[in-house]
Amino acid sequence: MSYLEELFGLRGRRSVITGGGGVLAGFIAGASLRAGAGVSLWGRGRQSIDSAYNKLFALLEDTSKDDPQSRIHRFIVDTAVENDVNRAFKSTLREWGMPDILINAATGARDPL
Amino acid sequence: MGDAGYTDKRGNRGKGSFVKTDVGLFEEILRLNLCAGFLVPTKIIVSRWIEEGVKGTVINIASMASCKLLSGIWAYDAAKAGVLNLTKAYAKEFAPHGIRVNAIAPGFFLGKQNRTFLIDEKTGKLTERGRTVIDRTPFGRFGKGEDLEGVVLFLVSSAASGFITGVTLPVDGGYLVS
Repeated sequence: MSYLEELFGLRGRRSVITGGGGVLAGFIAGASLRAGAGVSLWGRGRQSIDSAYNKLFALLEDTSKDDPQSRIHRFIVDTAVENDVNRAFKSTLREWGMPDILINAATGARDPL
Repeated sequence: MGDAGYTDKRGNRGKGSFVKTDVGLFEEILRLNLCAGFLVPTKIIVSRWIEEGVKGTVINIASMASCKLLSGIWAYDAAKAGVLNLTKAYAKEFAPHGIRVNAIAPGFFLGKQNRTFLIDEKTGKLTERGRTVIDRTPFGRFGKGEDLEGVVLFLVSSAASGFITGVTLPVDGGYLVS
């Protein structure tokens, strides 16, 4: 493993990204994936989550031999609702594994203004 | 600053005179940015990390509004100032468990909802507000998504930033120093 991979590589890490359908979240997810992490996209809008998921899927097919389904996960959830987030977390643990990174990218306005 | 450029899920605009504040909208903006954007997922995931000894890391998305008053968007200002504040508070509480909490404060990036406030769709040129933003950004441009990528990798990597917690890192082309 190179020095830079030791410093910045994320292989074996798992990242939950809330607001996962957003524009900036998409760049964060793509960077995390390319650095070796798995990514679970959480968000309210099925359409935007599916679209973001498909972009990551294509990115992984282009750049890695890994099985995309083991590296990318999605869950439709309103992160303001505690019971829903509990449910999302339990499902994510069962279907995908324990995350060790949480990116809180859900916002009430696309940041920044 | 011209138009505030944000709209809630019902299509309500959040900018206005403080004395005319819609209290329900104010509460909704706080709920979206603090409860959905930070509190609830962090509470649930980090509590499990603590139980299982996972030394995880949390990244929050702050804003220029966390650091500098953006006139007329009071609820958003308050919410994003809260993100900066609670990033420090949670960092302190979670540090004994080896869990780090940091935030990124993006400057002015083009997103789904603010694009029309900053760029005229018909001409492709800057709106008045867009011009104001560029004039106040020393780098003279909007942020690009790529500008965030290295910052995120740095902050989530314990090998790179394992002794950093509680900070909010501006990625703003110098907006906060202008």
